[in-house]
Amino acid sequence: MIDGNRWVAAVGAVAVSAIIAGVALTSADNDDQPARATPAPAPDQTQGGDLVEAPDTPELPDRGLHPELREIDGWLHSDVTSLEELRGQVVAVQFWTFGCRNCRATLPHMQALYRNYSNSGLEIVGVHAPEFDHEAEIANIEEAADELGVTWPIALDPTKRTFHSWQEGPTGHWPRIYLLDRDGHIRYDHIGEGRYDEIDAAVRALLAEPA
Amino acid sequence: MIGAFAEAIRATTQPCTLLLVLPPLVATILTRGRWIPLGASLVAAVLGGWLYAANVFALNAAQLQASGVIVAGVLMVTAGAPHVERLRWCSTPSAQAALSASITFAATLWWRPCVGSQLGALLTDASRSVPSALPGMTAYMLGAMAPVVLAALLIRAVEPGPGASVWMVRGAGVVGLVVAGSMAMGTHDQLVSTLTRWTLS
Repeated sequence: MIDGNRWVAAVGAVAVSAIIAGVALTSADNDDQPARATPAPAPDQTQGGDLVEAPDTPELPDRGLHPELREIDGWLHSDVTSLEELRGQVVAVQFWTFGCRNCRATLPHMQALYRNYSNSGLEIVGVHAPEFDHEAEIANIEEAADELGVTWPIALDPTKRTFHSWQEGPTGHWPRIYLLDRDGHIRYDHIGEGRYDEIDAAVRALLAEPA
Repeated sequence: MIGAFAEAIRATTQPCTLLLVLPPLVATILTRGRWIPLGASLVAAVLGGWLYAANVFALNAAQLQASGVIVAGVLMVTAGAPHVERLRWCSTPSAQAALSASITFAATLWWRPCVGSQLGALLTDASRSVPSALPGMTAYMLGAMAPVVLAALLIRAVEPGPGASVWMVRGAGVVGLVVAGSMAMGTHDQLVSTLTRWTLS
């Protein structure tokens, strides 16, 4: 004979198991889906070839000039050696590391951004800040960049000085994207995956601003 | 809220959440799934999650190692309390609650999460206004603790016999000491790194 408490616990265990299994199965379904690529600007978002703000543009307050890149140990895929050289362009600065699952999940969107907007004045700078030791080796970063299709400039931040100087507070996050306007001011940032439509809209809005 | 809860459950299968989930899981097994220690663990997890979202405090390397030593000690007290006369007072529900809560809170300080879309949105919001992110963080942390709740419910439903209980406690104790020991020795990064590479390959 099983007492009441054990029945409650058993029913609870089945319920929690069902929730976990349901979420896991949903997750497995989602993992099969390719990451959604960012569409090119819709025709109604351009006027005479000029980009204009989309209606869903997030607020883009001016948070001041970006912090400097500190102790960068070289660049990949670029002759650029500082963000100052990119003045006049809208710049997406993404903090990432190749071993980070969530960073990898954002790459299809970053690729689409690069493909769709680099000719309109967008540059992407991936600041590679390693979480673990093996992610600090340049050969591993180059191999991962090739494998993952990261073709935009990569600034190497092995000591994570830049990673921590840009992100306020004691904790930094991978991935994190900052959008800089043509004057190098931070106008938008987002932690983690997602909000791709919002990022697209912010990029379009910043590109539409006068130089 | 539901999205955050679900994302946290998914994250429990990832190495990045290992350091958050294993210590309270061990504590729950050591306290035989009792409700009061479990509740204390859940409260500590939520408070730790809020602290993480507020981004006002993080342990440096030396503090992480010290916390590993402390948690290893707390685990040994929790495991030994029912068997050692001098530690018998630690077997009371309130003492077990305090021990479980301290272990879980330490785990939230060790945690370096996978920042998926839901947690990312919460942390982004928290960087502007911490209070607005607290309900979502509560849901996330409760989701991350789902395996802990499940373990407690299973223990209570099955009520393992004395022999099985001994082995269960021994197993949990070993796992707990490996985790706390890796923190104490500063090798936890290698542990998580290795597991992460396995799961990515």
